[in-house]
Amino acid sequence: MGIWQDPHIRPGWAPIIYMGKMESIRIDKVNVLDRTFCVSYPLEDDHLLASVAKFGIVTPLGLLKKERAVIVTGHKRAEAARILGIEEIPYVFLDLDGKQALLTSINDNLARSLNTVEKAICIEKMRSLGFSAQDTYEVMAMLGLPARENAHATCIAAASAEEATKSFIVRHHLPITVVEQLFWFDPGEQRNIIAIAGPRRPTVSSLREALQLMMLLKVKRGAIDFTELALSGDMEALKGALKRQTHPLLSGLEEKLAGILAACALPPNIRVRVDKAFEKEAIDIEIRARNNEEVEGALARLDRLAGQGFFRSIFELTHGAADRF
Amino acid sequence: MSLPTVRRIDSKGSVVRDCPGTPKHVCCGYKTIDLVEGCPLSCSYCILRGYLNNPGIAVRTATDAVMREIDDAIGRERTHFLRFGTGELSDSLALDRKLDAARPFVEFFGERKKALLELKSKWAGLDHLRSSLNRYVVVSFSVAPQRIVSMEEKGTSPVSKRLRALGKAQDWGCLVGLHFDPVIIYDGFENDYARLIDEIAQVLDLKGVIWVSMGTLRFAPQLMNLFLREGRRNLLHGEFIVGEDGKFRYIKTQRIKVYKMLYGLLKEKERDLFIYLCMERPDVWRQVTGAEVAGSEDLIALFDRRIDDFYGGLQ
Repeated sequence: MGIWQDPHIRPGWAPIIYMGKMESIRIDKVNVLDRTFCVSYPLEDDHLLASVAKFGIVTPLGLLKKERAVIVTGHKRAEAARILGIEEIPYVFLDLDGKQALLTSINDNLARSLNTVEKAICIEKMRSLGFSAQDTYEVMAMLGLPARENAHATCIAAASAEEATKSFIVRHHLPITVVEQLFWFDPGEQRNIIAIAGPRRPTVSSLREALQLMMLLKVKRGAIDFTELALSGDMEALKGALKRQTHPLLSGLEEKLAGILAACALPPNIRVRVDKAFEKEAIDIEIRARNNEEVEGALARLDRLAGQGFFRSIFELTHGAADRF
Repeated sequence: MSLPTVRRIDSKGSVVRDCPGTPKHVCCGYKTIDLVEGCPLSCSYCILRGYLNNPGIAVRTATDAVMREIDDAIGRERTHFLRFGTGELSDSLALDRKLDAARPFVEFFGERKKALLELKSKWAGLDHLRSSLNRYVVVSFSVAPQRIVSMEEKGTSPVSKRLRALGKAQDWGCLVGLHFDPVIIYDGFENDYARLIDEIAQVLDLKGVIWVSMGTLRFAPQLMNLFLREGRRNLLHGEFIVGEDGKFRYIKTQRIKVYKMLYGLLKEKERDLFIYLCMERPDVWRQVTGAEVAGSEDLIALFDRRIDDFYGGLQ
């Protein structure tokens, strides 16, 4: 049976099969520290805590009947109850084996948006419980993860990563593709990256770009000098510092162009645009004018700049003449 | 080389196509015959790693229909000599001893005498075609320094073996081609390429080389992630930018420098070699060769002239 046919995981199906009427159980009869089926990260949830404080626990926990009951669904509610000192919690006993219990827990959590660490925990727990690769890939697809080997390996690594790493992933809403990049580095390098990028409040895209440049730098040089990178002020500066090392020729061209443009002090109504990669031979010159006099003034200025060799200097950059570098 | 699963499929739709080329760069007007899809040679930089999802090999079985397509293409063309190749979605020779897919087409082009078929390969297995080879088939090999062959083209024939196979093809009366593609920049590549060109000049009669192409490493964005993950130091040694076609390629100044070096070394060996750039910009053409090749028509005209020199024109 494919995992989609399993009633415990199929979307839209009632996740829990109740065995009887809802009752209450003393919290000390529940092993709240058994996290076998817990896929929530972090467990603490301020919104839920506020809700439980006001309304109590409305939805019963799903428990496995043991000497001390094991939580299948409701770890966050149990944690909120523990913090708030609630002594009795509503529950239903579930008649499930281990695999069914995990699928039920995953399904129960699918109602909300799981973060990447939680998705990783789902996959890691499936591996621990011996699910087949096909079942695991089906759940990965359901969780919005790419169903491929690298993503699977990243999930396993992320689920068991250091707290600081997991917290970094969740705090910055990193998708699995960026987490894959981060886990390409060894744990020491990961710590350095988090220490440098974390305080600079990276967006997903800025971190993705910085990580790609770091990967490139490591492949090219074998190691990264994090001390130097730590001096960068913000994410843009960090990317700039990396780019100067990974792309010295391009950085050199950019600096020369900036120097030329600064030296000629173009008025605001004239813009010179050069291809960012210095691939295009041609440059674009844009004049903004409101009348004939402004056009004549701009053309006269351009004429003077051409006479001074200003454009020639730019074309030397865009022609890519090899003997100049 | 381990043999992958081979699926034989009926051809649906066109198998003979215009080489897709790449936007904003000069293309050579090549026609591809996609007889085989997939390649067992597993070169690390292969463009197919980003495009073909099925790891197996698919072989088209409708030979007659493919030949009709080729005849149609030849019939439609009034101006230029057409060049066809089977090495776009696969290697022309790597599996051919097993599949025997090329022979009917080798013979077909020999009978038509109206266009050229290029067998482009990194696999030096040619003997099985000896009796069928003819003047309308160009046997060509991609060449690179052995260091790159050993590290990035692991399933392929050593470069010295490829050159010996080309030499044999020349002995049998075939025209041959050379493709310096992809040229890869790595630590010490200049000396390695100089030695490679020396070796080529010793093994081959360069006057019988109909064309030489040069193309530096370029690849689709998804391959960049793959190269990074795999830590491909050779492939990532140079400095890459994203070109106007959206592909990664070396920054222009590096490309020009490399092309000029290779062009100079090759022309030193044989002044009359016809050397063209694969998927390059007109300004790079100008800087490297001094020729104004503004678009594909200009390059196709250069090919026409070259073929005319060798064949005195095809009917």
